[in-house]
Amino acid sequence: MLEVTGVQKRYKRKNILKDVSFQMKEGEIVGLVGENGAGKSTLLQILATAMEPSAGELRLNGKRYEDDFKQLRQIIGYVPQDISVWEEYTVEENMRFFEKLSWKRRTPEECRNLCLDMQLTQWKEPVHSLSGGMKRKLNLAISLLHDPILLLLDEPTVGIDLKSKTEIGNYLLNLARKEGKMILYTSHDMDEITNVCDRVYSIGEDPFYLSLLKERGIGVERLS
Amino acid sequence: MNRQPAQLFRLKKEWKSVICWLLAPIILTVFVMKTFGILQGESRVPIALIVEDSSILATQLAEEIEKNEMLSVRRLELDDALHKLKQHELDSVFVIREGYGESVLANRRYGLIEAYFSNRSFAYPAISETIMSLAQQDISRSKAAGVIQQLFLDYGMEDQWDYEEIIQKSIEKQRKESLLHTSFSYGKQTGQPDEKPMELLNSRAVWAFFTIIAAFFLFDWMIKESRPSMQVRWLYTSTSFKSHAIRMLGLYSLLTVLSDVLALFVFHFVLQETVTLSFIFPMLAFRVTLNLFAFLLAVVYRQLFMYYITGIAVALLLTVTGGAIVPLDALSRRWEWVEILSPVRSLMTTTIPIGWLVLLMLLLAAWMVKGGKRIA
Repeated sequence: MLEVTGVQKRYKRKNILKDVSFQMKEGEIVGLVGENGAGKSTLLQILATAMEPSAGELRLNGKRYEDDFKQLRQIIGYVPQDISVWEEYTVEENMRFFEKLSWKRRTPEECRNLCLDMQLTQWKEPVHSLSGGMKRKLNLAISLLHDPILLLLDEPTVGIDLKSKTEIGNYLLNLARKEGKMILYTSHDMDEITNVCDRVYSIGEDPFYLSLLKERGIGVERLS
Repeated sequence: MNRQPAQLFRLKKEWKSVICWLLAPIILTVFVMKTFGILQGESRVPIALIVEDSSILATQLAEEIEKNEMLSVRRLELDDALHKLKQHELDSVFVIREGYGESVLANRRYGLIEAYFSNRSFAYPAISETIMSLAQQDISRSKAAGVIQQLFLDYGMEDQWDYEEIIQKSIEKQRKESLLHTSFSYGKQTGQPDEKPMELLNSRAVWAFFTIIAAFFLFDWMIKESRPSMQVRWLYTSTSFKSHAIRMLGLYSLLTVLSDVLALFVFHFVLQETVTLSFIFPMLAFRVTLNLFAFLLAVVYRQLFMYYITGIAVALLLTVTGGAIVPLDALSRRWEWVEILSPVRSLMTTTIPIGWLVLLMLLLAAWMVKGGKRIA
């Protein structure tokens, strides 16, 4: 279970996040929407232990982030907005490289199946020759190598075609439903949010997303 | 999954360029030194030497002439030599005439050596002077031996030295006491000046220059692996990026040391250099210094192109200030620290660049233990 209580983030006298509190349970996919600059990526980075909050408390499976964030990283998967893969390596080499450095040992078949589950079939292709959608899938697959229980995805489907979006969406649903992973997901695509997420949080001042989702009959709660 | 360490991935991917940069300094050093050797050979004055006399003195004189680094001496028949002189293929022709040895022993100084030259023999006066001075040396030595023997006879001494013994002793004495050696010193200069002959191109210096450049191209992996977009991945790995980088540094250092062993073999067998233990440790220290320097600069740089340009600039700076390519005596006399600062100088003088090593080790330690934000 992820528990976020009163998290704040100030940067250069500006409040990026104001008193954010929410909870997530195993098997849930939670969407996070908001205008650009609202603080979605900041919140994800704080949850991913890549950034420290200015105030507030975070707990994952009962363990406080402050106590041992390095230990918690072993059960957190973070998919950054930018594609973080070795462009000069093949898909196989990328997977093998990060498997070597992972806390969890994987067989070659397991690594390959992880990619195949997302319809990423170009195992021997160099990454620079892949489409944007395939790169996004690899970006996600690498983040799953150490089998995290909390998966944080920062606009994982931005700039890719509908087919790839659907494949990634289905895969995430499968991860949550079958493997009980907690998935927190940011996106500007309302269709995607509607189809994939169980709950949605809105962040930022702009009421646009709140009203848009309410129009679609999606329950949405304001965070900050 | 095979248990190949993550550090080998880049090496496997880029093995061709790694081998190229490991071997390039050796190949380029051999190429430069051989080319320079050929050019130097071509710049020697070609002369022909005809030795008609078979005495030891004549043979020794011929050998002495051949030792002269400014001359390209060819042993020819007289007719052939004169033909080549007419064709201006030779600067001049010298004949050590029959009876040279006997004449020297008899202290007869006339007609010992015959010389031919043409209207284009620009170096003839200097060469003839050189050869005559060598012959004069033989004559003087012979005369001295005669005088000594006569003294033995005149004073009825028991010890009888034969002629050869006196000549050998004289040669030995000349070599030992460096009778013909001249050194220059300046008004404010103290201590013994460095009497090593000046080398225009030193193979170690050439190797050092290319090795510095190659090190920067070898250690570019640090910039590639530390690209900002990949930094976030290292938060979720069992090995930190710094540990990974240190292992990579160790791996690449091992490869460079292996290439240095190969370089030593090439120095010895191809360039006919004397390789001693006193050179191996400074070479190893130079390599460690260089690898640490290239690695730590790569920590600072983000762009490969600028890193390479810096590598070339550093190579030029260190080799020139080290007095390696062009001996900068004036510079080093005025600012001794300029030479001390260059690890290339340490390599040339077979010393260990302690200052550099300590500084770089401290910087490496600081980089490793440096705190930082969570993302680091």
